[in-house]
Amino acid sequence: MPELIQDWRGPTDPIGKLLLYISRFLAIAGGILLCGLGLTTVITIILIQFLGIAFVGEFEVVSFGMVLTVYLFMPYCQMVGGNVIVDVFTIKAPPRLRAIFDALSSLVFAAFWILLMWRMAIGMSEMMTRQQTTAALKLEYWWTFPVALSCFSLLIPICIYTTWKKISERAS
Amino acid sequence: MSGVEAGFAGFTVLLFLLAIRMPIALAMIVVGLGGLLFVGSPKIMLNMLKNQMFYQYLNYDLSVIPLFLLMGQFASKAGFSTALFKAANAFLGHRKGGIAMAAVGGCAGFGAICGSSLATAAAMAQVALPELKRHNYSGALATGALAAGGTLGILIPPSIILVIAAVLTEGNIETLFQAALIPGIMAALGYILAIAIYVRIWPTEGPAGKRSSSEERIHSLLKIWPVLMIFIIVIGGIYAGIFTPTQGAAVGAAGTGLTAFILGGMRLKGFVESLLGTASTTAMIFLVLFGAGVLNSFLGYTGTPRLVASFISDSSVSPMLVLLIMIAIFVMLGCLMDSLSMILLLLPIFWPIILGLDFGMEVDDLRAWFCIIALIVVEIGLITPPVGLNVFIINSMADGVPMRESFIGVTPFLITDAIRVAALITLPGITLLLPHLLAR
Repeated sequence: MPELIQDWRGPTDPIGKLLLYISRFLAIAGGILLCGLGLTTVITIILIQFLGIAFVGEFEVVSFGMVLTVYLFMPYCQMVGGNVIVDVFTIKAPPRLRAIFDALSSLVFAAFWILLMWRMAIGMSEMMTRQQTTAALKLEYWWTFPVALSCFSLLIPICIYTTWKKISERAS
Repeated sequence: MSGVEAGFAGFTVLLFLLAIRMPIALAMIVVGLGGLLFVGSPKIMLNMLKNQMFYQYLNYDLSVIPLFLLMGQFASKAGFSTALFKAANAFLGHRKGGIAMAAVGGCAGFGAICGSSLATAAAMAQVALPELKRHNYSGALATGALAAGGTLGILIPPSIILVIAAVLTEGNIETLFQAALIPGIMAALGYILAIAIYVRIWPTEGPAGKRSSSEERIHSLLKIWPVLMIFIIVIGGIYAGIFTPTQGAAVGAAGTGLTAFILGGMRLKGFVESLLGTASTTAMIFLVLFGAGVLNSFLGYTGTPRLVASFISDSSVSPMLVLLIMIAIFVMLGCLMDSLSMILLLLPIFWPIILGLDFGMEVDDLRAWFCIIALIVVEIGLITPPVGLNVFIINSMADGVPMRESFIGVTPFLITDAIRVAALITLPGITLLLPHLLAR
């Protein structure tokens, strides 16, 4: 898993530090949400197995919450370079060339997040007019979209920052 | 350009992007979106982006992944690896090669809690390498056994890749968990046998350690009860149908977290580290899942997998030959890519083809059989040169062992892997025994 193989040492400049701080904060918030969902599940099991009380909405709460968790995790993954790459072909390439490739990828990533943000903003307004909800608890689908959009809006500066870092790495 | 040509062109571009270090998820997204733009229209592509990610992530089956990852993170903090290795060592250490066997046994036990191969190999290496060195085990045997033992993490349930394989082939997670158990135990026993033969031929490579007293043995067993408890509750609960896999994972994560806090001395810092580790891997996996989804809408649009399947079944090629070709592709790519990305990339393409061929099995059986074989073959890639991620990790942790020696050390384990794959292919009954028994 990538957390074992990365040789990533934190950023030293203030912009990088700030971006890392915010993305860490979101990831920890997501992690606490994940623990909360896990505990909800455990409590549901205890209730039904030992006391015979059923909590109908458990599946909904868990899958709905998990969507939010994943969004909250994304900026941190990007910030620490957690996305897997295939580096066999470039393992012997000059570091400058690798830095150019990495800068290019970061730039494409930024473009993708901008595109996705635009489309999901439209997706959200459609969800709001259609008022789609989960079956039992009536959790509205569109509620997850503001969280997604906030996380993506952080991903855009992160990708631009990593692009800039890689380019300055090449220059040095 | 026809649909199939576009499909193959897309695949070529994908491989090119991967070669220039583009993250796998992004490469899949770029090719998928670009392909849809090319064979479909901008409208199709833009409409898909509006809510595909949301609907894909709102899948109850997927929620098992972050919970199992969290459980694996906690397991690394709970001191399980030490307890498991010591217990196995108390029973096996006095034999020739026994400490290496204990490391494999420890890996099997740790793999039962943690679903990742690299994490299993790394956790066990931390405990076992110093011990192996102290007893003058050769670098080849020590690193080889640990790298191979780590691959048990994928196979022994619960495992993240098993969940992903089930989701991608639209199958049942429980069935795959059941199907993986016997091949997983076979793998562990095969590795132990490989060590036994190895030290028979080269006795100086793995000298015997000292025999433990029965008191020490009982004492060491008492220390692994939390691991046993968690494994039995989680896997037993899932097998018996008391829990869904997600519920099992939640119970397991809670139990492991509690153990890490009480016995492993995990405090706030360790807890935050666990959350961050879970965050980065979860986001990585889910982004690749989204990428695979986008890529498959493109491939589905071109009809490539369906056409290839019907082409193969019309050309009266034997289904077995097709399977063997796929295995060859898995092994070749496995030497270059990590296992997770391979499963994510190839399973959605291969599975419809396999499904379209006649192997004389029911769909559920075919799925379990094929997925287990695919996983084992992929896992073999983790220990084959030139990339063999597991071997690299272990080698970097063992000071002064040359890379070449480590790759020589894994060879005996690769041989048992090859025998096991051959057995599983020719006798599907081995894989299907447990799912059939438990289905009754």
